[in-house]
Amino acid sequence: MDVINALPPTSDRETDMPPPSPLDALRRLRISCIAEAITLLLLLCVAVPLKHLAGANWAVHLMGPVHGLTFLVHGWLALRTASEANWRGTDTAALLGLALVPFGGFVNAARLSRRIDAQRAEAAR
Amino acid sequence: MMTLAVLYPWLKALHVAAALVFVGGVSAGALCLSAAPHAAGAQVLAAVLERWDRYVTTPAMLLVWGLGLGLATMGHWFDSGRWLIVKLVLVVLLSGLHGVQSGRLSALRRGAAARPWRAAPTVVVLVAGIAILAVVKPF
Repeated sequence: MDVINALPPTSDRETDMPPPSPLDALRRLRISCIAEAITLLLLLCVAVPLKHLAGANWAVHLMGPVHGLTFLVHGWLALRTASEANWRGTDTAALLGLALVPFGGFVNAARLSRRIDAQRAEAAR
Repeated sequence: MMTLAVLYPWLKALHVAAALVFVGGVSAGALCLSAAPHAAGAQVLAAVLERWDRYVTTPAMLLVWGLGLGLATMGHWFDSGRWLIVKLVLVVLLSGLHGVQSGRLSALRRGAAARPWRAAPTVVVLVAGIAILAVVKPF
């Protein structure tokens, strides 16, 4: 327990404190959707053509791992958020599946924006 | 001036250390969640584990990914055989399992009802597979 108590203090460290807003998790997930979509487009539309047309292998060697890491972070956040809020399996599958398709991340971000708006409206009621 | 050859074993050691910490955190989360439906005080335990997850296990997982991809690129391991691809798949599965557990721990801390969860055997199988592939490099 000493090691646990040595961790940095947080505003929600005790169970009697208000929990963090579920909207924060959705906002983080939306950012990861956009980042994933941008890195996928940079990989497919910039790095791959540079490799084949100009022989610039470095572009793929740079963007491949960058997109890989971004995709992993997105997938991890998607599973975490879906699991915390107990989403339907189809919603989670769509969030992960669309991330594999160019521009799919932007569709995911738009869907999440609608979900955020709905939750905000519900909280305001 | 540090060359890549000098740096490589240090990065590899850090990768292994981060992997051990990550696996420890995932195992602890799996055990906590499997006990939660039957245990008194599960919410407090979930709060403690969630903090550990946020400040230790998740950063360790990010280090494992970052260093692992860096080492594979530096050491040209992607050209060495299919073992690394299979290992990557197992690491992604373990990371996904951790993501699900992390969400469940957070829900449990917020007072949601504990749901049945039996992931500990899967964690053991995945970790054994990763270790065998990394050390033996069978194909």
